[in-house]
Amino acid sequence: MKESVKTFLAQAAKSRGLWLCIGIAAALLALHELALAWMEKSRAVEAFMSGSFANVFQAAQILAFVLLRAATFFLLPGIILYGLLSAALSGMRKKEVD
Amino acid sequence: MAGIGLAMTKAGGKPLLQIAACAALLLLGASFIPSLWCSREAGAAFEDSLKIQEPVQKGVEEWLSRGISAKDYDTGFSQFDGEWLFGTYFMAGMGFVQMAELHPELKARNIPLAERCIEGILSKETRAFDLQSWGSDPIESLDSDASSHIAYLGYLNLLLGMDRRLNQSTKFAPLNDKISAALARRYERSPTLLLETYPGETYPVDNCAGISSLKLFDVATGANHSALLARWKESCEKRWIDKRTGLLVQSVSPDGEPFDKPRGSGSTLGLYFLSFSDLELAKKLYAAVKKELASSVLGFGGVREYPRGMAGRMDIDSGPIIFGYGFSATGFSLAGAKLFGDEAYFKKLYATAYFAGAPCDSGGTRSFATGGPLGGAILFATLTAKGGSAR
Repeated sequence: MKESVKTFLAQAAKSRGLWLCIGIAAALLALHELALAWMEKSRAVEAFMSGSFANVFQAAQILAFVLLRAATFFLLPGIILYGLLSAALSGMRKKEVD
Repeated sequence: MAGIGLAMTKAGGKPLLQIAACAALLLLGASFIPSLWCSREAGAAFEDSLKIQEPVQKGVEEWLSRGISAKDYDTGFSQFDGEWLFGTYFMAGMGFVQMAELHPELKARNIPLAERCIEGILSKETRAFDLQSWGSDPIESLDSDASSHIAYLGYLNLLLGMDRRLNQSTKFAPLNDKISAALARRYERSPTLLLETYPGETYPVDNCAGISSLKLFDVATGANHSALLARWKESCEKRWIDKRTGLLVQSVSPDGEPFDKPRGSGSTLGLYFLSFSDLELAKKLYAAVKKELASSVLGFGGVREYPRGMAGRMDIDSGPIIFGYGFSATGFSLAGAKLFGDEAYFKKLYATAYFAGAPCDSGGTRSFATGGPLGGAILFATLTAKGGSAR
């Protein structure tokens, strides 16, 4: 068991798919954290919460934040799962070739 | 899974198969992981864990110590900015008292904080929005019945009653006596048993706060408004609770007849207020909210602003409405779910509040990025609403 985990990790480290997924996930997370820090200081949210969209620019900022947060929360798990599967598959392919 | 893997291996990473696998995994990941993550603290929050509630309190304390004013709000309307300042102090004050009741070790710390909120509500700046609408000051005009000021006075008196329940020797007892006397007198003189929020505008939800404040006053002082409360309840059930949905109508005409639709924001906030005077009526409202407005998608709970089949616009009461689900109705429902022991739905609502509120934690303090001071104070009050045996 221990051995196969080690082998998997060694093969996963060589998987371009996994690294790509990790890169995308990290970029998404970093962008989300930046947006969160900006949103904490922004006053755009008050116009949004009041139910009025009088200021289109503020509404657009809120919409962008909501989309980014939704993307982070809903896509991130799938991206990581896909990266792991991709690593596992590349390992299986390598075994078959060997 | 191994079979799929082998098929993909043999397919040699054919693009179509890769796309299908990618889509399946994205869907799988999106369908349960986000809600599990967002509701991971919900069980502890439902059980009133100090570990969850204290950082939220500290976030509200931070706003208070920094000092807030109407200028801190940017709704685009000075009237709403004033209402939000008032609402922030009110909800924060309710939260501080509820926290002290849930965690008695915090009593000494929270009484001054609740009193600070009351002082904030009593400040000239906060009173300005009500004065502007009525042309008379809500406190200075207590001896006259020419204007009713039910939102300002009802909410304030509810907080004063809570403060008095926590601290019998509160310095605000004389003010609680005076406002309660004025409200009782005004209700007795009102042919509809409803008082106006602003001239020509009557909202049952604001009256729920006013009438519940009289019950708290009775409990604290031994006064007896039970006959008035019973008549009010009868009227409420007969006239202001919608027959079809069982929800509270949002506004009524001067003769006490429904003027607006039954709505989520009014019903969910109204049941929270009524829980201080009439748990049975509050429970009926919660049951109607669950039946007519509540649903959940992918583990996230949401409460509609308008019942299914009814259309309506978003406004200052509803907050933003997305796919029919209202921000205010969903946030206020946390209190209802907690009050009536609905743990399963509380967890779903908590997941939504976590996702939409975007909490930011730092140094044991939690603030909500999309909530601002008012959103933080509302979540503080609803998350500390006392349910079951704690009540």
